Amino acid sequence: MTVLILTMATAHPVLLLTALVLSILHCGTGRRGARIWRDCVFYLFLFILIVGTSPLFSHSGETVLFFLNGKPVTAESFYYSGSVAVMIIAAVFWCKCLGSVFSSDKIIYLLGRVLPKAALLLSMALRFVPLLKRQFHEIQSAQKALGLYASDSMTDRLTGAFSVLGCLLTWAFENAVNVADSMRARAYGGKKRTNFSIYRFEARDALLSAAGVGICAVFFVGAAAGLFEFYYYPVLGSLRLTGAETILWFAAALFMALPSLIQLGGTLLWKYSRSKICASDIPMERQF
Amino acid sequence: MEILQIKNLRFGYPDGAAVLDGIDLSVHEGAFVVLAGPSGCGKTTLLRLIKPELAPNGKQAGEIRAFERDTPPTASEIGMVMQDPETGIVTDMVWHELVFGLENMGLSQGEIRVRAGEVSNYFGIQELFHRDTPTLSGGQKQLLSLAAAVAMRPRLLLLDEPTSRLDPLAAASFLQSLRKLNQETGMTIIIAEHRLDDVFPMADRAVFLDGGKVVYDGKPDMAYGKDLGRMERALPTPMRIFSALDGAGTSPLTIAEGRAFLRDAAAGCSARITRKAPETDGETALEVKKVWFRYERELPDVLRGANMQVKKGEIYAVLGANGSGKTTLLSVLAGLQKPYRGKVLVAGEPIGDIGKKELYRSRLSLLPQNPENVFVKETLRLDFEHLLTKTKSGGKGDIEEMAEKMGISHLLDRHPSDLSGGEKQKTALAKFLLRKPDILLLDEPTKGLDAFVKEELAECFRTLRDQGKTLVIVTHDVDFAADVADTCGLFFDGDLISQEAAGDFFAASAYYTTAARRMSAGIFENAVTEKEVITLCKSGQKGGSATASSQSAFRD
Repeated sequence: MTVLILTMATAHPVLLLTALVLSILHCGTGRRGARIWRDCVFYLFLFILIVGTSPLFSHSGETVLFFLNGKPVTAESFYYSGSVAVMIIAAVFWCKCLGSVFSSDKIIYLLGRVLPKAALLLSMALRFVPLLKRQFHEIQSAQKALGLYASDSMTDRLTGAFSVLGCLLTWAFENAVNVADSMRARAYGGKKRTNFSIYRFEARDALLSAAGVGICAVFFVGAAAGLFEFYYYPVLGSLRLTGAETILWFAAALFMALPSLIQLGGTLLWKYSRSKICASDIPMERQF
Repeated sequence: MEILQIKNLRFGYPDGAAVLDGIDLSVHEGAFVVLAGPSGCGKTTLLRLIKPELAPNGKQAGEIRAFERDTPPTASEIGMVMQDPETGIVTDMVWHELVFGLENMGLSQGEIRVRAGEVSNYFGIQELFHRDTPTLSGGQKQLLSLAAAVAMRPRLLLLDEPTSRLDPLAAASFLQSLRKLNQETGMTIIIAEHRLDDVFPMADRAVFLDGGKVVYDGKPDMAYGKDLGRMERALPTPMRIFSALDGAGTSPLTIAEGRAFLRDAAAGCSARITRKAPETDGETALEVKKVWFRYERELPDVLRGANMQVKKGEIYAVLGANGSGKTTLLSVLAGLQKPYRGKVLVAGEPIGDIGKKELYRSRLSLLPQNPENVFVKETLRLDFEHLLTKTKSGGKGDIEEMAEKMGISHLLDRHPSDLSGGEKQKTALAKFLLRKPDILLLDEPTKGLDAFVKEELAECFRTLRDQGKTLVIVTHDVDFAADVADTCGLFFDGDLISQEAAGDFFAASAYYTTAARRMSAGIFENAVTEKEVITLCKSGQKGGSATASSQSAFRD
C-alpha cells in the first residue's frame, strides 16, 4: 500500500521509472512469474496508446513539434503523458502484487486484531459467495429444463432472472438460519472470543515493518521539504538529482525493492536447502 | 455414569402439533445409540431439545438431565453435527472452521493450535488444513464438521442424519470415523439415522421412535419381529431376510453374518430364479453415440466416447461412483450441455435439431438433484399455475388432476420449502409431469429419503412407466436401482461399460451390487433382491420350484 502511495505521490521521472522496474521485478519473482512477459507486452500497448493519444488533447508546453487541425502538439505533453502512463502501469503492477500476496486469510489475520467481528463476517461471506453462485446456476438450469425462460426475448429473460433471484433469496435465508444454528451449537455468542490465526507475528516481521515505516517517513519528510519537485510545463525541468535527493531516491528504491529481494533471497535459500536434501532415484510420480 | 436422563418428555410446537409424547431415555457413558424412525417422527426435535442452544420454541414438559447435574450443559459439553454438510460449515477455510468453536470458548492461541493439530491428525484431514471449505466434497465437509465438534472436547456427541446427503462410500467412511471415536475414546454418541445397514453393526443400542413415542429400545440385533411400523423397511437386509424366514435368536447384522445364516437356511432350495424379460416394443427413445464432452477447453474429458441406448417405456438406471460424471451425462442427454463430438438422438432425431421450446414442452425433462431448486413461487399452486401460463400449456384442471394422481392434493397450498424431503421430490416430479414429457431424466431422486418414502417413489416410477413414459435415473443407490430399474448401466471412465437387464446386471457383479446379492452370491445363482432371496428360501421349505415372474418377484 505504502509503495502505491509512494508511486502515485511523485511526478519525478527517475522515481517513476524506478517504481516501474521494481514493480515488474516483484511481479516476476512472485507466484505468477511465468506470465510476466505476456503482461509486459500488453502494458507496452497500453503505454503506446496513452502516449500516442493524450498529447492530441493537451496543448500546453513551449516546444511545438507540429500542428494538428490547427492545434499545437508539444514535446512536453508527450513527456508528461509518458510519465503518467508509467505511473499508471507501475500502480497496476503493484496492485497485481498486492492481489497475489494478500489472500483472504491474511486480510482476516490483519483485520482480526482490530475488528474481530468484521473479520469473521468476511470469512463467512467468502464461504457463501461460491455457494450462492452454484445455487443460482442450479436453479437456472432447473427452470431451463422446464422450458421456462428459454426463449431469446429480453423481457422473458429478465422476468426469469427475477424469479430465480426470489428462489435464491429463500434459499439464502434458510441457509442463514441453519448456519446460525451451527454457530450457536459451537458456543458462539458466549464468552469473550479469542481470535486465532495460523500466522505468527515474529521478530523479523516487526523489524521489516519498522524499516518500512522509517523509510516512508524519511521520504515524505523530504518530499514535504520540497525535494523531488519536477515540472513538465511550460518547459521540462532538470533531471539532475541533488545530493539529498539521491539519498532519498536510494531509500525509496530500497524500500520498493525489498519484497523482491526477500523473495529472491528466499528462492536462493530454498534452492540451496533443497540441494542438501538427498535426490531420489525414483521419479516423483511413481513415489505415490 | 448417566450422561443423559430423559423422563416423560413431551413437546409440541406453538401451532399445536404434539411432536414428542412421553419419551423416557437414559444413556450411559460410552454408549453408541442409534435413534431411528421415519421422517417427521421427532428425531430431530429430540436431539435439539437435548442441546439447549438449539432447543426449539414450544410447549415442553418433563425432564432432561445431562451429566447428572441440575445446571444445564454448556455448549462445549455437547457436540452436534447437522444433516446438511453445506450449512454445518460457517467459515471459508478448513483451519478456520476447525478453530471456530475453540475461539468461541476463549482458549489461548497456543491451546487452539495444539487442539486443531490434534483433531486434524486424529481424523486424517491434515492435508485439507489449508483448503477452502467450498471446494470440499460432501463427505469431507461432514468429516470436518465432526472434527470441529470434537475439537471442543464434548462429553456427548449428537448427530442428526449426518450421512443422509452422502454417497454410500462417503457415508460408510464417515461412520467408521465415528466408530473409531467411540471405541478409542469412549465418546458417548447418539446418532439419528434412517439408513441402518452400516450403522446397526457398530451400535450397541437402538431406539426407534414413531408418533412421538419410543417403540423399541434395546440391542440392535434383537430389533426384528417387533412392531416398528414403517421403519421395518429400513432394517439391514440380513436382518430382514432373517426375520422373513422366521429366524430366532440374535439376528445377523453384517453381510458376513448374513451369509453364514443363509448357507444353512438355503439348504435344499433351488438356486436359480427365473425372471420374465421385460416387455418393450424395441423402439429407441434416447440414444447416445460416441459422445465426447468436457466443460472447458483446458479441463479433462468427462465423457469419453460414451454410448447409451434407452428403449421406449423402460426404466433405465445409470449407476456409478460420485464424481464419475453421471450428472454430466444427464445434462448432455437433456441438451443443457453440448458435446464437442458425437450425437445425442431423441427418438431418432438429433437433439440440436429440435427447438428448445419443442424439446422441453413434450419431449423430455430433467429433474435436478435438489428438488427445492425447481420452485420459484410462494405456494405450489401458484408455482404450477405460473409454469402453465408461462408455457401456455393446460389450465387449472390439469393441476388438480396431476395432484390427485400423484397424491399431493393436500400440499398444493403449502410453501415449497415447508415440505419434507419425500414431499419435495414428489411435488417436483409432479411439476415436471405437467409438461407431459415422454422422457424423464432424474438425478439422484432418492437422496436423503427414508426407506418407506423410497418405496413410494419406486411405486410412482413404475406407474409412470406403465403409462408409457421412459425414465432415466442416475443414482448410486444400488438397492433402489435393483428394485425399480429394467435396464442398468455402469458408468465408469467416461463411458457406460456395461448395459444389461437389471437382474443380470446385479447377478454378474460381485462387489458393486445389492446387499442381497452380496449375501447370496455363491449360495444362489442369480438372486439380487431381498424378495428373490426370500422366495428362493421359501421354495426350499415348501419343496416347490421357484418361478417368479418379473412382475411378482421384482415388484411385489
